[in-house]
Amino acid sequence: MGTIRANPIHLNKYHRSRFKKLLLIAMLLVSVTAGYAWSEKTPAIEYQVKASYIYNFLQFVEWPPEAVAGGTIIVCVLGEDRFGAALQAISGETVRGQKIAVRHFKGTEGLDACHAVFVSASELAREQSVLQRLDGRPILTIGETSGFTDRGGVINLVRIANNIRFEINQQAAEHNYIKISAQLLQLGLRR
Amino acid sequence: MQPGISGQPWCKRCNCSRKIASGFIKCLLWMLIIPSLSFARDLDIDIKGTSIERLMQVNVTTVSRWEEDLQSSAAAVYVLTRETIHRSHVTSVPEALRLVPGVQVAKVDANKWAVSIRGFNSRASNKLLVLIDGRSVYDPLFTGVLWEARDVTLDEIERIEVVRGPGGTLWGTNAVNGVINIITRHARDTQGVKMSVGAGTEERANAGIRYGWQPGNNIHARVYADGFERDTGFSTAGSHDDSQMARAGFRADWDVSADDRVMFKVDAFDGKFGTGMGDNFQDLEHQGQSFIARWDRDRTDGSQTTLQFWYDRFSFNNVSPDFGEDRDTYDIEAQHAFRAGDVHHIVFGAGYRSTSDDISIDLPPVSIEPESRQDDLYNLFLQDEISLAEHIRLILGVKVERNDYSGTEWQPNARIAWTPNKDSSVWGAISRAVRSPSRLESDIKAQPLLSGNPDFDSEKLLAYEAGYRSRLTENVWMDAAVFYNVYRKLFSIENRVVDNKLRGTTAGVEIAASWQASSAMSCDIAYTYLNMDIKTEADGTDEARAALTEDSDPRHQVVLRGTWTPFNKIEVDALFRYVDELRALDVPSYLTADLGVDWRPRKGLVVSAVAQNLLDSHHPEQSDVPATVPRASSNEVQRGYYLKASWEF
Repeated sequence: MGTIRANPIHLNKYHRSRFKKLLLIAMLLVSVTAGYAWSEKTPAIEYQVKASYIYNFLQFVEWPPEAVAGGTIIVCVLGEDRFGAALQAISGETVRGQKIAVRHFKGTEGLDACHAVFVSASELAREQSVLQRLDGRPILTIGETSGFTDRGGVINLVRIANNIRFEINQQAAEHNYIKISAQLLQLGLRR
Repeated sequence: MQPGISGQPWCKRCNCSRKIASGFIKCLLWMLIIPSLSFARDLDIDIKGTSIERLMQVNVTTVSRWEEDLQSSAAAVYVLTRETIHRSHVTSVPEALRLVPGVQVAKVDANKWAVSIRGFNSRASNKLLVLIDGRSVYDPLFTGVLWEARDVTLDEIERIEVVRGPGGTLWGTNAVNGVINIITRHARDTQGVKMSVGAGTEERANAGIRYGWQPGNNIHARVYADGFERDTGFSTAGSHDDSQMARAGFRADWDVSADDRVMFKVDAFDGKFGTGMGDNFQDLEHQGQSFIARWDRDRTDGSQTTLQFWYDRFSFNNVSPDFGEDRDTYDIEAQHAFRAGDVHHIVFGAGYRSTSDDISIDLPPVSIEPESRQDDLYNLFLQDEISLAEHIRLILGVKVERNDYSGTEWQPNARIAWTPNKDSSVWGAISRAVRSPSRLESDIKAQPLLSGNPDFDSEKLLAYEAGYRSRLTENVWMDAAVFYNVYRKLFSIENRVVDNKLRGTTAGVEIAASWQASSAMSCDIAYTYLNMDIKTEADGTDEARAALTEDSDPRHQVVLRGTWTPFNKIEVDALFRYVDELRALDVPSYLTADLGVDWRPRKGLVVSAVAQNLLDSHHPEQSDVPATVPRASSNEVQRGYYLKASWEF
């Protein structure tokens, strides 16, 4: 005659190890599915850091008063946008009384209206022509390709070992009528 | 993950060798649990509340272009980066390869190595191909790699790509069980001066210098030289396996235009390697010089062209008994890849290689006939990567190769990959590969003991593989592969004549997982399972060799590596390895640990203190002699400590 032995308290050794196995498989499944949902939303740490740099730069940079008379600082991303939520986080924030707006551009059309332009690495082929187009306008150009500041860009975010650092081309900044605080200049890499 | 909080207590357990087994399990569990817990979190840093000073210190190590390619490749690929090599504190390439799942690495003595992929390990492992910047260092005399001589200055290396499974279609003959591709650094990345010096109990002394400069617009160059002296291992009979090596080289990279790049490299080495035990010992001398020139064109339309020429001169000399090899190899290869519409990505190429040798053997009754031989090798290959649907790719390829020993060989393969998103992929492959006969197998004469066989055929493999890899979260990555290999016509000796009368199957599982716990801490685990079943053919008689081959590799291997950066200037690294017994060689299983601390007191200066093989005073890893042959002593690996300083400016 069979008695009911389904009481979990009386799990024997065999059942316990099976239970552990099932638990492991369940955890694996949970972690896999959770991982997918998460990784699609979160931008790479590199671009979170770069977004945070851009936000910090805005505090240390002064545009000519007539350029920011509209009360808004327009931050533009030219080319591939790898910031995702990281840059959206600063949209709508205020810096020294100016509201930040984030825009995305595929081409250079209308780029002149921006106050800061992040030139994505995807634009390397036409970087020189973009910089020429923005040359002499009150625009803070920010790049991420080697030699960006040599080509006339104002700030370049460079990868050094595992960190992101930045270099500043002060002549290019002056040329674009942008004043960069001494504190920021000091933190930048020597060019 | 918040830095330090979840990871720290676990990593302390990492350091405790006694709890290693439970540590492995916990490591896996944490890898599985942590990502699901962190699901709710949005961004890793506070975009608006992080200061510039803090941003400058955030570790942003992330996937690069080649890592992206790797993520979607339809093969079992593992990449050792420069960072990983540095932080594991290894002192040679074979030592670094211990970290790779599916690779068997064992020290034969203090300077010689046995390295293989997916089994058949011995000092003369012949089923893998080793390339340094595309130059093969596989020795056709005995079809293997003399690692003590072919080792590369670690500072020169950008990364090491290890492909497990047949790479015959793209890489060529003898890439039966895998390919090890060592890629050296672009001269642009090694500008300025770097000097290093080290000393220790096993790594007795080493020193290196490198200088990089820019001779012209878009041209970068560097020169380097290094040398070392290593101690003997342990042997109750008295060991003589100390070694000395000196290496030097030059590399130049010229970015000719936006599309074209030219690379030019020259290297040379000269080394002396003690061999033998007790009263029976001698020095093995190795010298080599090589030269490579390569032109790459990457067009914006996605087409790529590569033209490459290399020359390699290699000699080894056993002083007594006299046994030496002098070899010159020339190789020219061309390859072109292009997209045909949206569906096809086609790669095709051709190559020619000439190798000539001069072998001297003064050990009657052993001789080789002819003493000098020149061989040609021609190949043609074609591969088409077909996008069947948005996320499904079918890869069909074939390589035809003609060698002077076994004639024309066909190596086809078919692969399929499903990449549902950029972070994960599933793949499967069926391939055929061959290992061509060696010079010795064909031409050795040692009657009445042994006789080579000019009709010895190539060894054949039919391989079935599948794999899954996924970036489970931004911080957790895993890669798993399974394989089933069917071998025919394996090497045997029948009636004292070289023949092809063994066959068999191997099966295995390889799992690698990596967890970046925080910007300051990471954990990597690699597990390898291998089961070999080798038999004689129906008319074969070499049962002893079948039994020896079957049981000369570890069934289980586990590597656990933890890195921790507690302070800005201090890095701590720990490495644990478990290797199962080699039954046919009477080598017991072992567990060992390495520990390294790096201190960076100022920019460019690194001081390292390293302890290797900490858990016992000595242990054997490999043997030249089967367990059935009585032996008085074996060469064993000893515990060692070293200090090293390097300064870059």
